[in-house]
Amino acid sequence: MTLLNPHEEPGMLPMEFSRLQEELQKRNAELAAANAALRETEQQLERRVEERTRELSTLLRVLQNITTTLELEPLLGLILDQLKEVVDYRLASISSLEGDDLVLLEQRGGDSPMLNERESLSEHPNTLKMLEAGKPSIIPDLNADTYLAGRVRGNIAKRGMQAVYAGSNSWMSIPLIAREKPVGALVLTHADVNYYTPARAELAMAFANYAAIAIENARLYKQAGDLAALEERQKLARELHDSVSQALYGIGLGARTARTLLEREPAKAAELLDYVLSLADAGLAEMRALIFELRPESLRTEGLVAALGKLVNALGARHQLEVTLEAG
Amino acid sequence: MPIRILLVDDHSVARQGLRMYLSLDPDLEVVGEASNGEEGIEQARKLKPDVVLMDLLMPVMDGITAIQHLRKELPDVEIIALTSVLEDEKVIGAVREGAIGYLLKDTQADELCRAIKAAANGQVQLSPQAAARLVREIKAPDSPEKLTERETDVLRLLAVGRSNKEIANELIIGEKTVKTHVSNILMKLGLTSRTQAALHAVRIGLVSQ
Repeated sequence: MTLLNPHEEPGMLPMEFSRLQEELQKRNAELAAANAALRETEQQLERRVEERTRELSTLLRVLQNITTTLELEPLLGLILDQLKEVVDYRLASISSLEGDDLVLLEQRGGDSPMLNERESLSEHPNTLKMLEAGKPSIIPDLNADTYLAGRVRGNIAKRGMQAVYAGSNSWMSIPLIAREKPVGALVLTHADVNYYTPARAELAMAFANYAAIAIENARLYKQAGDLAALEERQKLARELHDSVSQALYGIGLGARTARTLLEREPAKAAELLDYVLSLADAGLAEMRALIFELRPESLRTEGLVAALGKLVNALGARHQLEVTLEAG
Repeated sequence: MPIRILLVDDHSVARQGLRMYLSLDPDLEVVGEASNGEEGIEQARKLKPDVVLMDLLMPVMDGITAIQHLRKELPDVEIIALTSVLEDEKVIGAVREGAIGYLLKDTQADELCRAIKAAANGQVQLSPQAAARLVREIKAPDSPEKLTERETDVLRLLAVGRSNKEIANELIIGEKTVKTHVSNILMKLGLTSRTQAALHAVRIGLVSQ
């Protein structure tokens, strides 16, 4: 049924209708486009959040890995391996700052790592500047005609490392800072030009801050361990020396006594010499007890029960105690 | 009367060797043994020995701490520190706390008997090197009181290693009087042993080193 407005011209209606329909279609299309754009933006955002979350969780996992290792040498390799999960590289090296020299400690990706190679910082003004600034230094294109790229190329050539660096087209160095002081540097290269973006540099820097602390901890741990071992060795050496000299002193006095008695009362001398011999046995047992402490070999070769038995015998001899061992 | 000796040493082999060797000399008698400083003090209280042979490095209570206690409680008991070479720096501490002398455990055995007899007679016997070192290492008395002329005579003789008896003969006084003079000297100088008094005499130039 068609209702007609008596005030309108009947011929106008179909025209108006089609115009409206057109308008509606146009609006719908615009809306769809806007929706699509919105979805796109949402997806992009989601992707970025996902990516960022992934980066952060990788960083967290990686940091947990490196901060639980206290042995220096495995730690250095671990740092470079874990770094690759955070920021990709073709070649990576870790150097420590010792005085005014950089010492190459570990490298990944190169054919001929020249470990423990020492280089004066004065030959690396770029690295020096980077360490002083405490910020990453990036060369987006190693083959570009810039001062920095030229210097790095020059250094590579001077060290005859062209083969190692072949295929590396971008470069980034990161300072290792512990307790607010530069302690070393990480150097990364990548095949892609412009690979090291500010975002990647930031990630690498976050990683490096923890790596530096882990390295410092490992160094302190090693020092403390060396010191404790040394002190323990010295203590045992002192005890061993004391034990030996005390026993020899006692035995010497006994032998001297026997020597004198041999002239005065030869009959008594033999008895006394037996006694001196028992002193020698006691002295020997005591030394064994200390050597046992120094190097518990019987623990490894004969097991705990036998080792404890020996220890009990030695302690009994030393302190003239009757000690019994019950081992199940 | 033999000189009564207490042995304080944590190494039983060393103790037994000492006991055996000292038994050869009829003037000496080992009246007791202890294996650490604390036991040593207990035994000294009970036995009142003339001389204590005191090892320095011992568990429970070390020799230097025991010397400190013994000199306060039993000033008539003379103490000889017995040390192995490694405890060299401890010798200073022993003399500072009042040991009359010290013997290294590698000392010739006859020296041992002589040193015990000297200690029992109140004789200070230090090698020139040891005296020089001890004068350097052991600080001078804080505020020494002035000694009488007689006390100064006694100090001079004591410092050159004379025994109580020799000092008595030389000054024509009784041996007991010599002992009284020595106690007064130690009190006035704030010292705890004859050795410290002898070192003081060297320091003030009463005798040459």
